[in-house]
This record gives sequence, C-alpha cells and structure tokens, in this order.
Amino acid sequence: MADLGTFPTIRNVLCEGDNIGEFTATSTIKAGMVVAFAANGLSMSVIPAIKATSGQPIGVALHDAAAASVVSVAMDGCIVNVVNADDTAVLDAGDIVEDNANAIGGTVSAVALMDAGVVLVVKYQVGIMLDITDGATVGGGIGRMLVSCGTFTSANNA
Amino acid sequence: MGAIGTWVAMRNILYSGDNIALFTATTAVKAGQVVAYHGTGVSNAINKSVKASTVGAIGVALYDAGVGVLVAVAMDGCVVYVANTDNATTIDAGDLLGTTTNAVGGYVDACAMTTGGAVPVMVEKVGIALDDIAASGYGRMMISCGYHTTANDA
Repeated sequence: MADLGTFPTIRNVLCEGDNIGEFTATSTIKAGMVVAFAANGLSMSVIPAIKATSGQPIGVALHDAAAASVVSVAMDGCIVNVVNADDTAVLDAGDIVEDNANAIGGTVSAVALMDAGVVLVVKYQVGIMLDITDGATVGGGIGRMLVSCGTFTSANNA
Repeated sequence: MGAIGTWVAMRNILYSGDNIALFTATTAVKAGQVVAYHGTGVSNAINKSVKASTVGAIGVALYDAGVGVLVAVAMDGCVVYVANTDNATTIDAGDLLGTTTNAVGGYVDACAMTTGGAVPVMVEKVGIALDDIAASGYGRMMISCGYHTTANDA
C-alpha cells in the first residue's frame, strides 16, 4: 500500500446537510479536500489538511478554490464525499477518520483506537465513514463521511 | 495574566446555524455565555458554565435571560461569538475550546492537548475557535460540546 499520488477530481461533494461556512483559502484547495487551520491558525482561514503540519480540521471543501479566494466548507453534521489517503488500504463504514500525512493534502485515514506504550495520543478527528472504500476495487477511493471535527484520544496499552 | 472580572455585553451572538433549542435558565444568563447543566442536572435547565462547578456544557445563550425564564441556546454545529476568559492570553484559530473556572461564568479558553504526569485528564470541550481571539476579546467558535481527553506524558 502507498500514498495516493494525485487528489482526484470530485463533483457533488455534498450529499446532505446545510451547515456550510465560508472561509478564506490560504493555499490552493480542491473540492472534497479536508481543510484545516494552519498550525498557527488565522481567523476564518484554511488550508488542505496534512497531519502533523496543519492544525485542527474544520470541514470539507465543497469546490475548488485558489489561494486568497473564498471557499465553502461543509462543517459538523454534513455528509460529504472524501478521499482515502491510501491506494489500497480499506476505509470501513463506521471507521472514525482523521487527517493524513499524505502530502497531496486533504485526505483521510482510519484512526488507530489504541497506540502502544504508556502515553495516550491526541489526534485530529474529521468524521465517521459511512461507506466502505479503498483505492483499488471499492468506491475508487472515494466514500461518504459524516463530518464531526474535533480531537480523538487513543488508548494506551501499558 | 488573569481572569476577566466582569462579563462584557455582547450582541448578535449567532453567526450561522439553526440548531437552536429552548432551555430554562436557573441562574441569570448573559448573551454569549457558554451554558451547562448544574452538577446535579435538572431536566432541560441550564446555568452559565463554570468549570468544575457545572457539568455537560450544551451550547451558547443567544440573549440575556433572568432566573426561571426560557433562553434560546445555540447547540452543536452553530457558529457563535464567545468570550476569551483571560485578559492577557490569546486564543488561536483552530484551538479546541473548553469551559473555564472564571466565576463570572460562560467564558472559554484553549484546552490543553497534554497534561503533565502519568494520568490523562478529561475536560469539557465546547467547540473549535474559528477566529484568533484577543485577550479580553471575543470571536467566532463552531459549537461542538462534549469531552476531550488530554494525553499524559509519562
């Protein structure tokens, strides 16, 4: 399995919901990307979410947007299409998903519910998968997700 | 740095959203205050939130309300204006926000992601800051009430 190399073109990102906010894109954003505040966040300004680089995700972009333009973002409670970060790993319906370190930005992967060791780990949650999808055979790497942004703390095992 | 000693009047609390419900105020509540159930919660009745005193923050009051009267509360998903509890510490856009011990009630501050020691701590979260919020200032927050568990570091 490997990181998806190119963010696909998605039409009809929004499946359901009306909790839409307008933000300023501070870098180029594509429809369906999870968007987040920068690590040192600016008011109402978002970038494609990249784990360990960007800050708190806030939703999913509904259309393409160039840097410095306004982008509509589906926030908590909306159902949207999102992109699996990996070209083969399966996202299962019901998985809690987080931002991913894939450098193309805006992709999601399943959260590990437990991390080995004595220390708990806080992660940025983006939502809950409603579809099964992988990059090869099911759903073409795109699936529906209920947006539910915040933090998720995995359990330790020692 | 210190906690603000007086609630500053706010207007036009609701920025967007329609997830609004009516609750009974069991203490006087000001527009923009985070509201929560009392430690021994009463059905559909809320107080202004004070960390470690109230529990289960549920949203943000949209207008002033006296004791015993109904108050409209914006709940999860709404974007509202909230007030920073501290007169010297800023809040960053993207910060997870929680209730505070400021006895004035209804304020927010940033939740810690890690708490020193071997034991993680569960804190009440209220939402995600959408604006940089100045010390003693107010700004927009997307409401997302619940609990956040900080990581331990040992």
